[in-house]
Amino acid sequence: MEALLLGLGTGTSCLLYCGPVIVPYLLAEGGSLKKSFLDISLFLGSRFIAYMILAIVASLMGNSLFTTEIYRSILTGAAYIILSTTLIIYSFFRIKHVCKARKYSDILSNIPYKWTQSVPVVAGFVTGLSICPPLLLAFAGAASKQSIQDSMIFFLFFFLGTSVYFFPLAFLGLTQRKNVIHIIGKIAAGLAGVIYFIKGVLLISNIT
Amino acid sequence: MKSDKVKLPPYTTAGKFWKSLLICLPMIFITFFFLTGGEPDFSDTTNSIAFILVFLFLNFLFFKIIYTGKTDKFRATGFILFAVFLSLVFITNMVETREGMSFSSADLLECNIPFCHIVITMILIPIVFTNSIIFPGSILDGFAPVSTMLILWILASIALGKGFCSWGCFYGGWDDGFSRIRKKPLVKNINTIFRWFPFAVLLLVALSAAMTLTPTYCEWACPFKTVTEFEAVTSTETLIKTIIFLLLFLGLVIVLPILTKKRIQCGMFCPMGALTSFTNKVNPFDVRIDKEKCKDCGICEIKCPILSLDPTSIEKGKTHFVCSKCGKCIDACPNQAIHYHIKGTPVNKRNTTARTLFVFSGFLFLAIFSGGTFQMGIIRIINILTTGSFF
Repeated sequence: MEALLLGLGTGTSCLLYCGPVIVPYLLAEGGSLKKSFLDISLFLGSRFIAYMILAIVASLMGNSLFTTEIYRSILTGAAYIILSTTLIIYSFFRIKHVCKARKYSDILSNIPYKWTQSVPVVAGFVTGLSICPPLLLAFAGAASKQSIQDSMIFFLFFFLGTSVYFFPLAFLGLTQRKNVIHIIGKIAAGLAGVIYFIKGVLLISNIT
Repeated sequence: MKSDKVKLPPYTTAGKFWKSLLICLPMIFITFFFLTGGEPDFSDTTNSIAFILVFLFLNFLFFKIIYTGKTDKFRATGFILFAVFLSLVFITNMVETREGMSFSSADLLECNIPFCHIVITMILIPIVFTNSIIFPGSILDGFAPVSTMLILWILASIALGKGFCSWGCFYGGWDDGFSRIRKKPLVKNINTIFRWFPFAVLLLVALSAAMTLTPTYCEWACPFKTVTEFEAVTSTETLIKTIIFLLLFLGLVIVLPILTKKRIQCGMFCPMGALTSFTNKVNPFDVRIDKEKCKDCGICEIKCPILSLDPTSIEKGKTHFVCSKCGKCIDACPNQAIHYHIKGTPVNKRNTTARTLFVFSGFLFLAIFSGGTFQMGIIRIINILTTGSFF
């Protein structure tokens, strides 16, 4: 119950943290409500796996691993760089609108379109691994648990609490009818990739 | 073709001196009131010279807009000089009060940072979620407080729509100016997809500001920090930020506008431009194309500095909703097929009333925003010429 309330209480922060990643993707892909729900489910599912991994590691190695700034910076920084690579590749994937970008798009043209479905999976997983303030609170809560199982259950309920806020984003998929929204989503995904790359490099360099 | 260029546009005021002067009277009274603050005082010589020069300059520009029927050349003169003078006044103010262009952590903590309208794009989502304004500026007091800037922007948006970007923005004159340097563009046929770029930037800065609860665009991507103020370089992070904004200013505001003759920063990057585009929907003015007169020559499309005209929009008989109503296409059209228009009125005619009402509203904002800056700038210039110091 405590974890669920924590999740519900900090869920908007989680949503805001993941917004720059998932919103451009949903706008660019869209298609239908069903497709958007599927994408969000993939995003949340892989985020859940990341949480479980964190819960196990935290139980085995201690929470200090994630609350110590140096480890947190390296973990989050690496996650951001993986995320940025995914977003930048996605933004150039099968882009038909800009002639100069087409040659980059052609390089990726052999990759099947279904590849795009791995974007929410990768995004969900790496955003789950990047330690944001709500997740730090969850670590503090899980620290009081005695066993791995208890710790995982705590993270499960925390995850459920935060996930409630994500499903309304599926309605963004309804905007797909407008080709322009698709274009804006693709450009925003690429720009987000650039931002996450800079943030990732800065974190790893332990500059911030 | 040649006679078309020489002939004055068919507005009922064009070429008519006394009628034009009569229309300019309200502007003369309003600018007099604003420039004197309602209390004329000519005891100080420097202030009086500054007032007279600015008063005459602004009203000369407006008179020429009405009298010649041409908009863009005179608008741009005031608009470009406004941007230059704003930087001159801002930088000299910074040097006077802070002994440099950079602000310190103490200035941030004490909320001494002037609020710029571009920040509006970043404060909206955090206001909803946190009930707070994520900007280190004053709400009511000091120079450029949040409340004043918000009200001015709302008023300008209602009156001008995205016309704000060509008539009222403090920075727009920079790339407008650089885009006019070359006679012909070196880079042509820019893909109109780039008109959507600012919307992606808007989406991202709004979301990232909500994520970090900081004005991310101001911190990382605003090129105009080069000509106003910026964070003191005290770490590798601030050094990277400084390199980024200098490169953006060089690329988006100077080099690309010169090469393309387009307002690259304003039309293809600025998130505020994207947000303000939506206000074109509620604003009563738009720009229409008379399909009977239009010969599909494409000159308007080439001249448009922010990609708001393409074959599709011309076919529809109107500019795209990102149009900033600068008037360049209207002046350039050899067939006089493009005109300012009031929504809900007949479209296929150049209408003097619609044009006069729009250019009056637009120029009024430009005059009110720029008047004080021009005066202060002239005082600073007189000071440096006579005493060797700006102050």
